[in-house]
Amino acid sequence: MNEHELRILLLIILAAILIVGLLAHMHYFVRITNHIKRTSDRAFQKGDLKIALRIHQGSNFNTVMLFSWCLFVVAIAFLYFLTPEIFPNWNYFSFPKVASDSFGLAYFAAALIIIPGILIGIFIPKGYKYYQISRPLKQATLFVPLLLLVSISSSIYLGTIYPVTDKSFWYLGYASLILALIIMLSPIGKGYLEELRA
Amino acid sequence: MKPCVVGIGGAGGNILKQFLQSMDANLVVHQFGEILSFGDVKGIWLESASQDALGQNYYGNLTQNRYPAYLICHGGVSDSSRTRSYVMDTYGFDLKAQGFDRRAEYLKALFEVFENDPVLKEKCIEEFKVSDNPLSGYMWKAGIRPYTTIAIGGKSSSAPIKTEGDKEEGKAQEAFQKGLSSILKRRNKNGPKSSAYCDSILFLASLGGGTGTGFINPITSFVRSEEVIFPIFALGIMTEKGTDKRHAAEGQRYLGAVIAMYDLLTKESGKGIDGLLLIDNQILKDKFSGNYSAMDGHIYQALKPLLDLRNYPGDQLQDDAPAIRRVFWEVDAENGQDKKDRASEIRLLPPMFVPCYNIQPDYVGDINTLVEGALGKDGRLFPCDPVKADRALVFTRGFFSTVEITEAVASRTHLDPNKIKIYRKLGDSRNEDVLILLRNPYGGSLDEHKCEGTLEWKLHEIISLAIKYVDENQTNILGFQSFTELTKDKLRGYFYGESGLLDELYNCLDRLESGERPVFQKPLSIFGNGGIGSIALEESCAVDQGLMVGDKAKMRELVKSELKEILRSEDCRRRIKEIMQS
Repeated sequence: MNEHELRILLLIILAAILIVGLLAHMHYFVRITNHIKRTSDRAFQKGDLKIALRIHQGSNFNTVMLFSWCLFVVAIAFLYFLTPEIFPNWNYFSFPKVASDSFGLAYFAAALIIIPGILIGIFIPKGYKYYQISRPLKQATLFVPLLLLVSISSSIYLGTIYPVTDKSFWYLGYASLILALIIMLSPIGKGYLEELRA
Repeated sequence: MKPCVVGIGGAGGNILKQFLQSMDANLVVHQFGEILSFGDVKGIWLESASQDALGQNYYGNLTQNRYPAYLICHGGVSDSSRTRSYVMDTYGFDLKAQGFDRRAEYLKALFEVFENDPVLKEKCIEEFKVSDNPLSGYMWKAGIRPYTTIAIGGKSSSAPIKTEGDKEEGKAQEAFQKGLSSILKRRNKNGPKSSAYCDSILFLASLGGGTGTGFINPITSFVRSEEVIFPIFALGIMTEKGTDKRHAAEGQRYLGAVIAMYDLLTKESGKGIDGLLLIDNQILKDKFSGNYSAMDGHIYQALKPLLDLRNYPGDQLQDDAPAIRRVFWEVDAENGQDKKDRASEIRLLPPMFVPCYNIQPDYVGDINTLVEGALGKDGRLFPCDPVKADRALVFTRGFFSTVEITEAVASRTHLDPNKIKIYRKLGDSRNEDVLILLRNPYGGSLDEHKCEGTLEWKLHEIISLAIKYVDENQTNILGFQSFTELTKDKLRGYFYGESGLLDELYNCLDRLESGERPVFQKPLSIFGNGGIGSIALEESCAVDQGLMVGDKAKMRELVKSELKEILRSEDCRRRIKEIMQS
């Protein structure tokens, strides 16, 4: 497996983690619904269940998660789409006007946040309100923006020195990105695993 | 149920910390954002010892708009207050004492004078305008009320600051009202959304004879006098045996506890609390080897099923506070002759509740082991025999059906299923737990006080030690340095007089021995039995002063309306005509 294929595989792993998170979230509802159906003496709608499960997670946590998911979109795009190394036809340098601008990276990041970032930022953090998240886990999420900033910084460095490359920075960027993703999905994963035990 | 948790005194403040710990992410070095407590509860710490409040850094001063906050109970009374001087001169009580004397009777007497001395009432109204009690009124209006649903859309409790009058009076009034109005204004401007308001009040206090013991009854009575049907619950923690760190012997502390319990439990429905939850610190001390933080943590943990807002789908209203209040007071249905007999002698007194708690990992999934653990010796937080309870309120977290919970509880308490009220919550998927509140689990059989581990046994022990203390410590009780002769006389009557506390405590022992309930029946007062009212009137030599300003106005209105009615009547008109004609 060459370097290019490895990086594509790593991207697939990221996508797989996201999909697993989504499936776990959906299955969590299925399991809870079954538990309640077994023990409830009255019929209920899915909406009732969502209302019943809802819990305030706190303004700090919500803000951090919203910010983190927006940064995540930026970080993943910067890592894979900033230089032509992985996707020669789909990258930042395909737009020379933007790439040569002093604020080109900022425009690129802003476009990413505005278009997919807002959608993700609005919908994904909402999923957390159905889980009882422990305080230590919430505290751990405070590190996510830092990790994502490390990833973005690494990508920016690689974009700046391009066409020269530095593998170690790329892997640093990837490692911090995947770690951030795992922490971001851990409330859902933990909630699901605990639910599986029941 | 989303209560405003009010910690009173040192222990109350420590336990309250557990309830108010934030569930939100935050920096270690600096807290920012809104505090998110479990079950969205709000809380406030009421303290009289300003040095204790200043010597900690968890709570901030409420008057500086901090949260979580403490409120100094006498913060509304200025140094030069005329009311303070009057109370000091007449009774020997200092309203601004730095931490009141560590005995319940002191605070009981201090609050009673505001209820029973018409001259003092008049002075308070003159000086403070918004309230005839500068302690309870201040705590309620500035401290607790703004967190409750009562505050939504209500009128501001603060009156305009008086501009006339002498300087001294102005200052005293200003201190009271400035504190009050500034808090209320800020709270209205930046206060919580309506969903953040609390639907009930839960008072937390140690029954160890200190501030909590002394304050819990007066403050709950005051709140009840303002809000007749608002749910008010109290959690009293009985202190452990032996002498405490402040060198207060168990007898002295138990006397405080007995006085507090007595006063809380002899106020009829609509005049006091809706229920008293009892916890024995001795049980917790044995369980946690004297680790007080762990003990406080366990109390909080045990109440979590009550506070959890994640109800079963479709059951959102099951634990709304007024509904729980109604269940607390519920009595057995009667019929026929019973109906007539009971209706004539009906006098509902607040019930006692013993919390029983157990937690297990959720994979166990067995309600029987969960309930068994809760009702077993290790789960009971106050000594009692679960079989004697007349009701059980069961709060579960986990996936259990109502039928299986009812069966599990009924088989261990022998209660009729109709007397078992189930409140199911979804819980957290890690553990499943249950809180069972056993109502009045005592009485019905002879000599139960001899059986260790029963509620009769515990109450008998506490009351006996309190009696012993009262018997052996007359000088300590009556000889307090600042008391006036009037206060000493009243205290003597209260403790040692005919049908006084001592007599009544012996009656309580008899009731416990014979299995009669309720144990505490006759309300007792230090100044309330026609004592200080008449003395004050004699002193002022003015019968008119017997009526408060507000009472006079009401009386005038009443007479006016009655006169109008009489003059409008046909009979009266006819007679007037006759007189005119004659």
